[in-house]
Amino acid sequence: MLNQTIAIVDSGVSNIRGVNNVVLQLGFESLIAASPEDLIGVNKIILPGVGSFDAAISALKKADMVEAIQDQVHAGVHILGICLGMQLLVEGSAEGNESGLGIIQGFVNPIKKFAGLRIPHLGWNNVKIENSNPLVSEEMNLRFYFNHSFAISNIAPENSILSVNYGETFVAGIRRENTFGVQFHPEKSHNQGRQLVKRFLEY
Amino acid sequence: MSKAYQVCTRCIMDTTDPQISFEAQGFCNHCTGAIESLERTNSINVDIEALIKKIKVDSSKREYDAIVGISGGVDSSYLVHKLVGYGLRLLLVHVDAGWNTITAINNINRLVNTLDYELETIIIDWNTMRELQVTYLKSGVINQDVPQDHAFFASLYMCAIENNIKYIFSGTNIATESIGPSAWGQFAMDGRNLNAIYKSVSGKKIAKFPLFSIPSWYFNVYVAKNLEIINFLNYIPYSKSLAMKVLEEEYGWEDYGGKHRESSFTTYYQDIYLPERLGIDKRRMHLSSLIVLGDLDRETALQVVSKPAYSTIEADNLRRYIASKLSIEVTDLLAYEQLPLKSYLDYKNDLWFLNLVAKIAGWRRALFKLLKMPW
Amino acid sequence: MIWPRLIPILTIITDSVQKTTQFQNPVYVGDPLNSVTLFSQLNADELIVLDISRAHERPPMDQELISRIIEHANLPIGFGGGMRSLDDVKFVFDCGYDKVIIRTLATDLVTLGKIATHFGSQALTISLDIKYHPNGEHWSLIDHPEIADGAVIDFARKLVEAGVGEIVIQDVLREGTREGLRKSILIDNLVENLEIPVVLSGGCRSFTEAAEYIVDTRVHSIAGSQMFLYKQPRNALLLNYPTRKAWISSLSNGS
Repeated sequence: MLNQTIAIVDSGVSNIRGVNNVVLQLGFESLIAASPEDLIGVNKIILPGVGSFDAAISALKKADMVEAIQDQVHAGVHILGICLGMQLLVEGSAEGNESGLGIIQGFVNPIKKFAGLRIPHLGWNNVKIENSNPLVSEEMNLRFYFNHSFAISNIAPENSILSVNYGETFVAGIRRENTFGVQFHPEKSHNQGRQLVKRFLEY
Repeated sequence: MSKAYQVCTRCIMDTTDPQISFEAQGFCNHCTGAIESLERTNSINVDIEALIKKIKVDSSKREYDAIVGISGGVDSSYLVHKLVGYGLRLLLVHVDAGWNTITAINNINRLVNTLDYELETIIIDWNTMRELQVTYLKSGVINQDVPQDHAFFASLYMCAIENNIKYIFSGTNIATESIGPSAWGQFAMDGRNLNAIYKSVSGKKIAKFPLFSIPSWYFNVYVAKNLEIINFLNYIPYSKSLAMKVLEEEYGWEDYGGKHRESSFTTYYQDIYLPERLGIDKRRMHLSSLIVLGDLDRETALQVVSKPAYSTIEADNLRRYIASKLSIEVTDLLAYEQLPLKSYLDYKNDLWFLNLVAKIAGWRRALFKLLKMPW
Repeated sequence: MIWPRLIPILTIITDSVQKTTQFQNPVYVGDPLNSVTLFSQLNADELIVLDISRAHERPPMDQELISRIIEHANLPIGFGGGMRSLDDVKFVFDCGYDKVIIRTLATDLVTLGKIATHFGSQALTISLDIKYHPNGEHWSLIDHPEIADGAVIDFARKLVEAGVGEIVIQDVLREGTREGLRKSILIDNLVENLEIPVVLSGGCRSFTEAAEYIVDTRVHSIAGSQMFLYKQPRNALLLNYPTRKAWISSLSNGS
């Protein structure tokens, strides 16, 4: 298990260092993947992301990483998208014009504004388990750190594993077979976040 | 090592201490000596009330009756707890050498928030501390905890002297420290030795660091008598497991497993450095002390030491953290762990002074015996 | 629901954490790696690291130090200090920080817009250093004294339009003084008029005071330094942070 290599995709606008830190803390080897060759033979892929949808997809396209990631996923490699990285896994976003990786059906829309609620959705919030999944269990502390203005909607119920409430309830975690995504930042969510990453890496 | 492996049949000390000796039943000199020490200590009936009264009278014109050095660990925390109720004006002093763990921080907070004593923190300059730790690693001496121990005690003494406080309560105790072979450690108070080791690697004398010499310590405690260190835990029944229970109940204090986990460097030193370097597992020492106290059974102790103190991942993480703190690479740290052994005696030191004092005390004792006078 | 955040601030001069009063008279605290790691283990909601070296005419934090001090931390961290260009900002994100806290560059709306487009609004926080006049009813930006009173609120709106995701109001005259958080019309106005989170820092004595202030003013979060570093009455260094339970309880009590 410890000889596994975890690829962390560098789309040029992602917070790879934070994810890299937690992967190393958990005792795994990591590899920063900037081109398709980097993904060959890896055991898991983590797709972080900050910034805008279009900037991220453009960067991935430029590096020929869009197909490379899709190929690995179809070959059965586990992938975890974080924050914008999760949003990239679906079909597209109202934030931009580009298409997403389209691995899971769904779309990204702005978080609905309610009176008195600030945008972005910034701070610690509790998630609810919608479908049982390998990333979290009921016994865990389910409080994680969020910082985003867009959220996934139009997703099939069986693909939603975690939800969160901020004015209304929206998706906080998605899954389809070997593809996972979380809207919050597990690498920045104390022990419980580290535990989630550990569960993904050991799954 | 030419000796065959042997482990004591009463405690769990073994031939990783090159100076260990065994008697017919297989009992070692450590637990034998420890039992004798404990009996001696238990038979000392210190009149605590009288001691407290003396302290109060002596300190009536001083700002505080006494200092208590605290680290967040079991000994010093329990010490403070036991002193409550005697009506002493205590100043709690914490020395921050940059290695505090979360458990140390949490436990000190719990103590200070619950009790009515004031806290003072003495901060050691980190750049100096870091440099000192690295020079010690490079020097090849065994006891890598001297920098922290010296910083702690020297700071306490200097704080007492500067603030005109005579009494220092220390958490040092026979009960949990009855077993400590001299091959494994060294008297940490030798400021001259520390400076010599520092200079041999860095090329300069240490600055921005609390330095105390053995002659200085002797002078202040025995000649000028403006410092008195009271090892209070030796005067009361002290069981570590009971102490922890009490601390948990009263303060929400947290047990962190093993001794000296309030410092991350000490954790590295005891769990990784010593076993790697010398095959010495300091847990043997601490657990053997508990066996002698009756606090732990031998079977359990053997089980504990049969497993490594740390898993490989934890060990890697700890090494990475220590290397990061010291601004060195993990490969450097691994190299220091394999250096040829040097003794602190290879460097300038003031041990001659202690030997001289002991000799003079010995002569006095002999002379007075001769003259049939009480010495 | 989102809980208000309680955010410790660590001010760093070159290579050590130092505590200032009104950003002056630095007092040595210690190793930044230790403080950052401890706040992470204390489960702090978020952390702000401010490099104030230049204000004290010292060389800024070096690049290796900026990334090293957060390697063992698992909490959200914002970095501020001396960023003058998009490249400076990119460097800070590459080191692993989640947000940049911009002060001097705040009036350069074009660059701010680029940062927001490239890295996202949620990663861009502006710190406004405010100087209050003794009567508390007038105020101005310390870096741009010509922007005062109502103009500060207009400026804040422009920042939001440019894509800024969060504003921290730094009450400089209260910083490190433990004189208490200041109630002011400025804060009320910003909270009323901006849809982004507004954070206040300056003078807070305790987390219970922070909770009361948040409940009274609906400010999003409170940041501070003194209260997380020192124990009174002797101002003894001892890092501390309330437990989750204590924080939630004080928010309930304050309402």
